[in-house]
Amino acid sequence: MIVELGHFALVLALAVALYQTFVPLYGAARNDMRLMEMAAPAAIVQFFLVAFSFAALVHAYVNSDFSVLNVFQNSHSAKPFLYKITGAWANHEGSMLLWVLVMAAFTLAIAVFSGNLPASLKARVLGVQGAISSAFLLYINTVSSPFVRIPESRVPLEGQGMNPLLQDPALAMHPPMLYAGYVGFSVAFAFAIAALLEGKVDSAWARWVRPWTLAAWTFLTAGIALGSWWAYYELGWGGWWFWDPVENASFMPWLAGTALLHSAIVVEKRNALKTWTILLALITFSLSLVGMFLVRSGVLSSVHAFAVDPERGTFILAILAFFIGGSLFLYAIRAHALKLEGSFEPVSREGSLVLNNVLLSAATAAVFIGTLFPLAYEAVTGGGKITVGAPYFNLTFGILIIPLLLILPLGPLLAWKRGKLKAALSRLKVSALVAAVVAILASLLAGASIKAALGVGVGTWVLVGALQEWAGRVMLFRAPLKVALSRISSMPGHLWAMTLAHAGVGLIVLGAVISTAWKSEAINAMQPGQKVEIAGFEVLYKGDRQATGPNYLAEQSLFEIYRNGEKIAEEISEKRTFLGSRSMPTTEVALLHYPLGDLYIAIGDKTQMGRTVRIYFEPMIYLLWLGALMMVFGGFIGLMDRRFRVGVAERTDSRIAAQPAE
Amino acid sequence: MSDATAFWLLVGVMIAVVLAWLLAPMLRRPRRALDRAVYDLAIYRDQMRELETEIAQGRISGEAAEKARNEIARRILAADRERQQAEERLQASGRGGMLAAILTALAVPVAAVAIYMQVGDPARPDLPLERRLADAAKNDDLAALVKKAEQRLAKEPDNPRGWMALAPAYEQLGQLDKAIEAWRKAIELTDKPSADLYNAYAEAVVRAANGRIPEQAVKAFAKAQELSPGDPMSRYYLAMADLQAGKREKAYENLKKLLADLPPQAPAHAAVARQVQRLAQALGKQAPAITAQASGAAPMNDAVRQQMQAMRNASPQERMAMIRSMVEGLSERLKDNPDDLNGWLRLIRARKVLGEADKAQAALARANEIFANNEDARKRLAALAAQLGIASQ
Repeated sequence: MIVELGHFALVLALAVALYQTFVPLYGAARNDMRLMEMAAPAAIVQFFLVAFSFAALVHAYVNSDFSVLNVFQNSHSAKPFLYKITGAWANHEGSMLLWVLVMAAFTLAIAVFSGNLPASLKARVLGVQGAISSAFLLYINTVSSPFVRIPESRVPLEGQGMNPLLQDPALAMHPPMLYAGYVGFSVAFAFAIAALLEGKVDSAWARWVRPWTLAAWTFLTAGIALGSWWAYYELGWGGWWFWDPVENASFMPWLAGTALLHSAIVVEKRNALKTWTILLALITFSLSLVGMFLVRSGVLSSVHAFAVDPERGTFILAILAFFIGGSLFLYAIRAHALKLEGSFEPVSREGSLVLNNVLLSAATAAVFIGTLFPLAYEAVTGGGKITVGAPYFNLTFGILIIPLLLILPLGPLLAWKRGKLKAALSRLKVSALVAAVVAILASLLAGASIKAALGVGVGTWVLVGALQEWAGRVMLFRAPLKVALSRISSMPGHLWAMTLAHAGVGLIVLGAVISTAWKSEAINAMQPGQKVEIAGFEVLYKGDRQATGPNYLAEQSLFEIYRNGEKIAEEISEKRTFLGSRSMPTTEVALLHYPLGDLYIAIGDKTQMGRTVRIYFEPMIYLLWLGALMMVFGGFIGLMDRRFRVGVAERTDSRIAAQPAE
Repeated sequence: MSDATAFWLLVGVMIAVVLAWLLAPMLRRPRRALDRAVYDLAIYRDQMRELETEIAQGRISGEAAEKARNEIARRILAADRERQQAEERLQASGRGGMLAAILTALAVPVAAVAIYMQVGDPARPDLPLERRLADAAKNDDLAALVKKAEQRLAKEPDNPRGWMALAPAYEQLGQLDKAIEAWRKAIELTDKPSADLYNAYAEAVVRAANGRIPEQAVKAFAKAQELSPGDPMSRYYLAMADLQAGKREKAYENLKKLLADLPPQAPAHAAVARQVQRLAQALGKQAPAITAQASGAAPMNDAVRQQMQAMRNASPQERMAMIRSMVEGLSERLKDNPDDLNGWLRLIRARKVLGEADKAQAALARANEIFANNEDARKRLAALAAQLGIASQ
């Protein structure tokens, strides 16, 4: 009866979440200490109830309990153990439960780790978090329950199996990461609402918000990178970003979150940009909700499909309208209550961060329009189809992102309040020189087009600029090595985070440009014994064989790879057909990593002409993942920074380090 | 303790823990914030005193001293503000608010139970696959038994007994292709396959072909004759194959001989006799005198009995129970989904096989009603009725 206990816990969690919403908010309004203190225990209880419920669902999956409709529809007894667990969230109902679990975990973290928050702020933040949880628990419990049972007499013996594309290690981790990102932004949202209610935003507020935003941003970055990596090696088309609405759904909150991360710095350091930062916090989480609506409501496949089965979609839309509309309304009537802000010159650290925010917001808007336009068009014309593809996104996003990349290395070199552009530029002479040389070399030696050469130049500029800023900060090459080393070892985490993240951006730009501009592909119908030449490799197709996995049958094609007439590798590329009723085959590409790039072999159908074989050479595509990894790593290091330990004030004197607030 | 008692007991425990957790903070005076502010204030004042001493001793000087002093002063002010607020809030904690909070907390489990009763399936036990398989025999769960047999067989696919046990179960589940394959495997893996085995295989093929006797079935029946000359079942089917091939004279002669050889109490006697009579009429011949009928059963009954024998790991009662539960399940499903022609064909056949002639008749009548506008379906129903010897209206 674990299933039913889990179901009951989920219902109870809804009631507790409502309690967590109303009691503390009422208490904060009355300034009643006792009621405000009810928030944290409720948040803790709610977390354990949701966690128990989630565990009950995973338990049902692991034990192949097909009396649970959700398990029957999405699992199979022959699945490997790992995918029995991940199967619990590789479907709509389960993933919504995971969403709520992550939400409850963040709320728990606020309840436990922010003892130093002023009581009323804490009560309001937890109350708003409770409201968001309530909405989604209501959704789950009414129209999207994972605990629906199949009548006893009709319980099937075998499940229908998981979507085979999702049976993959990267995708097992992708949703939890992504959700931790989406949901993490709810904390910034809740803090923004609480600040509007309190009528107070100060640098302490920003100091509390920043670590949560950074944590969410780090998770989201990791989630997007995993998703992109998965698309690269699993879908068999060799691309890593398709401007697909599902990808855009996660990219929009990422862009807005990146802007928020930067504007919060200004609030903390300079007590400026307060209302803008509040708005950005509201927008970032709103975009998370929009993303979830796009992915989860079925509206993407077709507006028509959404209208046919509107129950769930309408519910999510109502949640969306309530939180986005409500928060913007609150912003409209309360934003003026926030105190006026400190002033600064256009050329300054603040100024560069404002420019960063303007460009990131515009880029977000470009992606937003491109993603939603086809939906609006279909709705308005009553079923007309229109596609907004890569050319639109490459153009609009590119135009907005290139200036951002160009000013990126400059920002950290400008002083607060009033900076000197000339001085900053002159410090970046080396970077500019290196970037120009690399771009020229790329076009002369590697035959790059002007666009590609410029792209390589910009990537190099960002990468070298970030490294140069770091080198200048630690006085590398300017002070004795010992001094530099000691400065390196004492450099605070948030600065490491900045350097790593900015250098990561440079690597991603380089990876994107190089892998696109120098990519080579060969798509052929091949007979066994045939050879194809690509990027200096020779790929020999040996033939096919059958293989069986734990819950799939595989068609394997064997390849031998030669370079300069010498055999350097043997590889297998697979097509898998899984047990269960979903018989869509998946590809397992053969992927070989070399210093210059990846050799990528995917097989298609067999026809009379032979086996369709797609071979790509993806030069230096690993720079993308390396860059993303650096950003994530930077994020974690930033979180380790003691400045971010919530409520710890910045020290001006070692003496004060003895203060008791820790 | 019954499942239901245990379930509600655990629900009660869950509710108790939640309530205790929610209500506990209301019982104690919320002094924490105040205590901390007072404590912080004391510490900062100490720090300030130390700083003044050090400045007086000249250990810190100038700008640094000023900065530190300002910082500590700022904190003292903040802590004092916090202390004041905490005191105000403590005073604001009136009884009204608390009562409202307690009532709200008590409403939490009430609402939860009320909603759960609507959406949940209270106290319903879990049904993990492994436990279902373990309890299969106890629960007459034919589908689970088949799954278990398949799992065993996957480990020793060369065991003919396993295939022999599975084949009739597949037939019961209506999975004729699998049944045919299982019988074929059983024949292939047995040293000296018996006539019965060939008969069972061939009959499954005939069923899959809806009564037509394909070439491979003819071969298998002939093999049964070879192994056990005079075996009535294969003789019957071979004669029917002749009939289907248009050799009516030959079929008539062979059936006549078969009828003479069958003891009157044999279950198949009546059916064979009917065939002989019908053929005699068609050919304009004098039908032989027929001795009293032992039963109304058709030769089909023999086949089922044979299949059942192969299900060695179940007692006769259990077997019957399994089949009956299967048939009842099928009947239930057809109520929900009456357009399933193959389901009706299976149900009619199964009723007849179980000796429930009335119910077979009723099912046939119902099916004819449902498919009244479907010429093709009614033809198939009529063909089946003829094959089973049920009167089709």
